[in-house]
Amino acid sequence: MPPTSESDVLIIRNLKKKFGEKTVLNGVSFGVKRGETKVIIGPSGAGKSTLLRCINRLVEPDEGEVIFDGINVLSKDVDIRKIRARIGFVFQHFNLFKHLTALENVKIGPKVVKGLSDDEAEKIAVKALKAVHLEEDAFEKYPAELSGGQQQRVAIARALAMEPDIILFDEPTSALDPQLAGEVLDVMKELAKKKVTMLVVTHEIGFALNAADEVLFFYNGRIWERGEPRELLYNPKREETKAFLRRIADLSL
Amino acid sequence: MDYGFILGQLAKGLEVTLELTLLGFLGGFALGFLLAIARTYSGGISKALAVAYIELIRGTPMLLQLYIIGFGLPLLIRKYLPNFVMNPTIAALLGIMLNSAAYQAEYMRGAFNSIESGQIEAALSLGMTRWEIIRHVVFPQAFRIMLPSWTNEMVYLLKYSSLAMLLAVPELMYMASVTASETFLYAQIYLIVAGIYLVFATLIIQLMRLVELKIHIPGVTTIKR
Ligand SMILES: Nc1ncnc2c1ncn2[C@@H]1O[C@H](COP(=O)(O)OP(=O)(O)OP(=O)(O)O)[C@@H](O)[C@H]1O
Ligand SMILES: [Mg+2]
Repeated sequence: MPPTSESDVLIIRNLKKKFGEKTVLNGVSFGVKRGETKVIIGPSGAGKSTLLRCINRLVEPDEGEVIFDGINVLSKDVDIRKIRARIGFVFQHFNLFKHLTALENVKIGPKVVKGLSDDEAEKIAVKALKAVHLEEDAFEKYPAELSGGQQQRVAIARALAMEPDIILFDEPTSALDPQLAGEVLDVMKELAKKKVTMLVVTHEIGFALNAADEVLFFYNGRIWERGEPRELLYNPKREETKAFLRRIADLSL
Repeated sequence: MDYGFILGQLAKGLEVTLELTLLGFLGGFALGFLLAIARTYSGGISKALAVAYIELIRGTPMLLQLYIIGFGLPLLIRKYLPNFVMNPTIAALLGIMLNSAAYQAEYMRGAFNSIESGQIEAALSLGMTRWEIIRHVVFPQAFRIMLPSWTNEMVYLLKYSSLAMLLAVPELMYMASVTASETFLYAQIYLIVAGIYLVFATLIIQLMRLVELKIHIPGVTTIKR
């Protein structure tokens, strides 16, 4: 059944981006439906981060379309901040605000961007921090006093607190030890079960198998191959996909 | 000799010196903040103006700047307002503010730039405006990072406000030299004045140190024991 545009939170059509002479995105098209978890894998330099950053216009694409909830994000007269407020972004290096406690990091979005009162923002923030299972005694700690896994979970809570329509994850566990990565992946799996819409760049094959509705393999700025997780990960059709999957399998052994 | 009289004169001078230091610092902060924002986050003409101003001030002696404001500027104004008289203390204060602004702008720029771009991207991704990012993310961290430079700047202003004596501003050094030439107690008076500067410089350093400790956040600033 072809996706109806009704249920598509995000539609990307023929997206292109060059940095100088280098083509980083070379005509990328796909959609993400409400409640869906889509995983993007691919080698370093394939353009995965650039794709995510084009979606909320941290990077301006050269060509193509990004349609978010029916809104043309790239149109000149769109207020991009309103769009960004509805798109969560979780970074590889967490990027927490270092001068704010865990709780304050999560409160700041609802307070400053949405203009909620301190009480309302606090309620939402506490709920979000509980959703990522942050230990209560960590609520008042500063990022530098938290483990990497805790920091990333706070970053996920910061995104959740904005009640976004979709959350973009850019290699959320690559900076973490396996054990800490595990606690972050568990939270993400729970979110997938709760039908939070997610677009996740990751090399965690286990997460893709467990949580993804579809996996996109990125190569040379294109979607080289795509499919159901099991199909694509166990039975890749194209040489480049096979080679890539062999490489990450070797790394995780 | 009447030390009561001498100390009284020096106290009057000290008051002016502290005024010049404190107001010069605060005025310099306000203008310096705008200059730092313009230099770091704007482009085109406002950035060019900020850069030009900062380099002009840093590239010329403060004494020259004081002379221009204290002696040059009044002549210019008098062409249009023949009865204009420049109060030397106001002139010196203006000069100190304008001078300190350039240095403070550079300290702030350094601190602004030390906030990693990742935090800015996170703030942008939440939907914050540029101003909200400066106010809620950049400034609170930059403020803490630049406190030690601020301490230096205050101590510097405390000492170099003495240049205002050359505009006949009745600050500490001026009062000291006038009183010394009246009493011939050069050595005694200048030693007392040295002590006064030292005490207040130390006071500033210790106070700022307390502030640093008070607002320290692990991961933003490091506290040296
Ligand atoms: N701002 C930029 N300016 C110039 N080149 C850039 C910029 N951002 C990314 N690139 C280049 O674009 C290419 C794709 O980068 P991108 O970060 O999107 O890859 P990626 O698939 O996320 O890789 P990785 O797995 O290493 O994160 C790389 O060659 C990178 O050097
Ligand atoms: Mg990347």
